[in-house]
Amino acid sequence: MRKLKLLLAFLLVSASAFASMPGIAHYSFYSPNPVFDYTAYPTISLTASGTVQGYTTCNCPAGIYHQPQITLTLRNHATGAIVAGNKIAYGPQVPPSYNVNFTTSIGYDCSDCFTIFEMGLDSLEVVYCSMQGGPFAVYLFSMYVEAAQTMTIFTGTTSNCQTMPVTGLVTCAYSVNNWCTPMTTPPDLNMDGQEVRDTYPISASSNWLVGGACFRLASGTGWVCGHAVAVYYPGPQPKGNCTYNP
Amino acid sequence: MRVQHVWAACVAVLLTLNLPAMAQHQHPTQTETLIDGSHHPELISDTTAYRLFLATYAGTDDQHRKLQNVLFGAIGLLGQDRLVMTNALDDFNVRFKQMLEDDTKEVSVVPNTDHATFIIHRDAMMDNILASLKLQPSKVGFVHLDGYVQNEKKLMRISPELERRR
Repeated sequence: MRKLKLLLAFLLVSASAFASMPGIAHYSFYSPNPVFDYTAYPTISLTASGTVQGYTTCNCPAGIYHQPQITLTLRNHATGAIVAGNKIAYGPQVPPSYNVNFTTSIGYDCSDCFTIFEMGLDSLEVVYCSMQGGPFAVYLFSMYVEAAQTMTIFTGTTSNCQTMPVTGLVTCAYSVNNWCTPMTTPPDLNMDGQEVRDTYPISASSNWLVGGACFRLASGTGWVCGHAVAVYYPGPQPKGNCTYNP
Repeated sequence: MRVQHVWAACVAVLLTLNLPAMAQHQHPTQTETLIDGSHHPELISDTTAYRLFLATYAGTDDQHRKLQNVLFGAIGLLGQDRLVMTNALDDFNVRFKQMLEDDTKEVSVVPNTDHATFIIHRDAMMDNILASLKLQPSKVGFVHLDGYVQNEKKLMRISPELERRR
């Protein structure tokens, strides 16, 4: 009987102790669209990042630590080959209730970005728990990116001319349309009715090769692109091989 | 013999009671559903979106400066707007780091804190930075910046608990 009483006491104590142990993870994750640097165009630098913020509310035993870990992997979508990243970036090992703010980035410089076409970016963001011996807050995100280029032709419309304050250089916005071969139409980076900015004046027969970054969340769906660089070509130019990857 | 049976029964009850608790610790995220920005960007406040955005790109070393410059180009910021944005990133970086340090001190004193002080200060800081960003860049600059950040909400997964003050 005495043993039974002791056991019941143990049961009550341990149950209440465990009841206060559970914790709840409060983490937020962010895998931004990669940014493309065209400064050394046609070589392009791509930077992908990942961020984990948050904490765990718990009465966890002493000695337990949490650690944010981010793995960014860039693959050639066609071949599956890894072109950058695929290494775990480790954040600080902290007690679970500590506030974490961990960010990491990978870079990829490519002169062949326009031939790789589509790249898959996987972002695996986890918070590792030493008590569990594995990740317990997980965010896996995939997106597809490409560096696209589109040959364009000047439509004849000029607008929004500005004079630079120091140099006195005049730049204007020139309206353009796609100028792509039938095999590469419609281009992923659609420039129909868009504008490029360049110095003034230009010839009535002018072309620009426009480069930009495109994103999509699922392969086979439409691209969302932004144009970032326009290289002037005196016209008339033949229709160009534009990036076409539906 | 009877005592042994009772012992075994109690151990079984103990294990049954404890297992859910242990499982809850091991898989705590099961109790919290993240706000999925790809489906519900409208549920992510600007305060949160700008905080994650600024935290991702803030930094003063050469690598961060280069990345910021490229980012500003992607956003479409020109001239003075780039300087304003750089200052906003630097301001955020200093203030947010200080807040995290203050919060760490609090955790060392109150290990099971609910971080209420941190969250209040954090969101007040973000309100301040957002107000400044709405005023300082050119109107066109802020439209570009805000359009970029709103679009980035699709790539965020947010803990609703971290939004509880909003």
